[in-house]
Amino acid sequence: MARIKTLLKRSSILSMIGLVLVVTALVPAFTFGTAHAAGGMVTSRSLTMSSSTAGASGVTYSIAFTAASSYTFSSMVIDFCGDSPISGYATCLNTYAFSIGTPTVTAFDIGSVAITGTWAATQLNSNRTLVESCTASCPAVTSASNITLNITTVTNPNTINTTFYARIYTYVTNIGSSYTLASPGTIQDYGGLAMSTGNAITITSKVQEQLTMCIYLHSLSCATQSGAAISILLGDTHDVLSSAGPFVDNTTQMDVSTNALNAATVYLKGTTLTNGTQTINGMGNTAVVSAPTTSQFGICGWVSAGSSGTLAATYNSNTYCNTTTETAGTGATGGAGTTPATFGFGTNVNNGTTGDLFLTETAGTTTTFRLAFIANIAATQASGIYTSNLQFIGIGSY
Amino acid sequence: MYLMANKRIFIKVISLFTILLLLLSTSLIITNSSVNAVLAERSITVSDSEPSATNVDYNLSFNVDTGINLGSIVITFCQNTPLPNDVCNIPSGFNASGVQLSSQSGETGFTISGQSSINSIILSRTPSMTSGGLLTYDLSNITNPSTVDEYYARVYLYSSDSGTGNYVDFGGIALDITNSLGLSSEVPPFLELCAAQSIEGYDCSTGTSLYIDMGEFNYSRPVTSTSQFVVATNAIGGLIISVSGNTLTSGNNIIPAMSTLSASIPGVSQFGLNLAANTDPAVGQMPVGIGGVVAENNYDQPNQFIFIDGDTLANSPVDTGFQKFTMSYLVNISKDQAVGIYTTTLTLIGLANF
Repeated sequence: MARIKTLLKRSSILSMIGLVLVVTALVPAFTFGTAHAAGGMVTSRSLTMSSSTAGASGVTYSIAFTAASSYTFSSMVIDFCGDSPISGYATCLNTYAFSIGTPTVTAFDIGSVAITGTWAATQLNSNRTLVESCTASCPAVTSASNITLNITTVTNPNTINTTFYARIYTYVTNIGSSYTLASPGTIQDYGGLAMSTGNAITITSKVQEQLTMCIYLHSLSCATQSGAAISILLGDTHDVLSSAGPFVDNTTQMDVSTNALNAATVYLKGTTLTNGTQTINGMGNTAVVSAPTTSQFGICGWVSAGSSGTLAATYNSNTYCNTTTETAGTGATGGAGTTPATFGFGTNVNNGTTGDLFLTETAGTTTTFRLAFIANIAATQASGIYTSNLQFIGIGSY
Repeated sequence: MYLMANKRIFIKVISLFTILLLLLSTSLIITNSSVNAVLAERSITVSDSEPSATNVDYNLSFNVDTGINLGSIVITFCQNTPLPNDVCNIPSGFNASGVQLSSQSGETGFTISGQSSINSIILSRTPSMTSGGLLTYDLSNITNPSTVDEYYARVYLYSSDSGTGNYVDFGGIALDITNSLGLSSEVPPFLELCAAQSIEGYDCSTGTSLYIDMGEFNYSRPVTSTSQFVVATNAIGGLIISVSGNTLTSGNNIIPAMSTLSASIPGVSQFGLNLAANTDPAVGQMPVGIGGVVAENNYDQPNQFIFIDGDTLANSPVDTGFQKFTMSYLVNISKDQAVGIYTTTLTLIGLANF
């Protein structure tokens, strides 16, 4: 029976607290407790917390309200209470270790203009209550004056999801340290605010390493190419090379993107145009222009979209690769660029383990590289079908 | 009262269970949080990025901090994601079951563990503390995935030598399988041979008349004339230029061909030619050009002439650039050479060995 009584008693208390909370929401607009105000209730009042995390320290509370009357603004009290925002309420509990610390007030403005007069911020009630006192040249406010200030030294209540309150009082006189709950002084304007600590939400997501390469015909898209092999026929309408001039193919392009912290590199690996033991010489590490009647095979490239990628100098030393035109398969020769482009074919392409450095892609948006291949032959270039198999090997450094 | 007592016991049991659950959760959180930083500057360099390529080298490198008790490194290849705790789908066609550790640097002493699988390579050693810095491991004899796509490697560092327990460091790496780019073109067989009375440079289109009028023969002095031919080929076996035809004839009368190498002898009927610059008589010039074609010995002697039907005039053992030869013709007649109009047709034959 004793326990039942206890439970009933607790239920009553809970019911009362619930009732108080309801009243808190409704009553402040027209109820004033034991204190009496000469002015009225401040309007447009708000309090913004820089952090609602329970127990967080160094939190900034940005307070704003509009005065309800015209008077000489000489002091102000903001009392933080765990039980009620109602002005004049008999108790002001601080059960959750709330503190304004040694108060520092910044951005104390009236109508976005720094407040005039000599003001000092102090605390009362074991860091529960802020008192702002004006000791000289106190400003006048009207019923339209917007008053704002920041308290930067607050420690939040240490319990999550806890509602707590602020009671605002303004004075025509300097209330100083004489403010108490029982005797708050002659209040000019007043108002209540409600705040709450929140449960911090931790959001976790995963970003995985990524390196995407796609080689495709520029007339298609990467998706349309869909991994199908690309075969380039370099020559005249019959894919036959001639000493009369170069044949250029620039139909291929490559998309590269990565999120690699230390960038991604793409290497070119393979052979020059080869027929058995016969080869058409690669154009070498130092890019050179087309030289008809000389056997040579080379590549250049340019960035056609994006800005995260850079071609190695061997493959874009003079930046005129984008002036090349397609002549392979057209019956015409040439196409090596209106301002002659330089082409290269590094010696590491077919000597190195991974090939020759072709481009570097930093983390960022996709870069599209357009590629141009060129071949010339000397009249004495041994006849035959020449082929080249080139790989682009991407390596991300994360 | 009995119900109240049971309720109290029940509440206590629930409370105890809740506390145990919280403690267990805490320990799990602590366990997971023991995982250290992500491996820095990690990468894998592959020697071949083509689908299904075999015997591919995968060179793994990454930085490791000092003071980590390192007993094993696990490299797991997945199709779907590099994230350490997600399900790993084995890349289609990927096979590392025959992997070999070709070289290692930094932290060494590793061998391939027998616990390795088709997509997970375990490098194992007796656990020891790391010295920090760059580690590299060259893994060879791996078969690439069979599809053109992105795939991933997960690199785990363990203190145990078996790749078990909680990993102490981790890093993911993205790799790509791409199709190679195939280029092909054809260089056609090429043999250029043109002849004319004269040719500008090496341009066969500038050749002049194919008819040579040597004028009136005289027993007291040689009569000469010239023609030119240009030759080039890309035949890797080179070429042979030969001459075919008869000596000068007029009906049944002939001016005998010089069947042996001989100088000009006025008053003796003879017909011959060579490819040299002669002074007696003054006719002809040496070959010019960038090619490697050389005149045959019988035909490159100045002031020495010969003509044998089918003889090789010049040859090159390999492909050759353009070269121009001047053929010098010599005719002498005796006093009793029969009257008539003597003619011949000579044909140059080029035979390239492709």
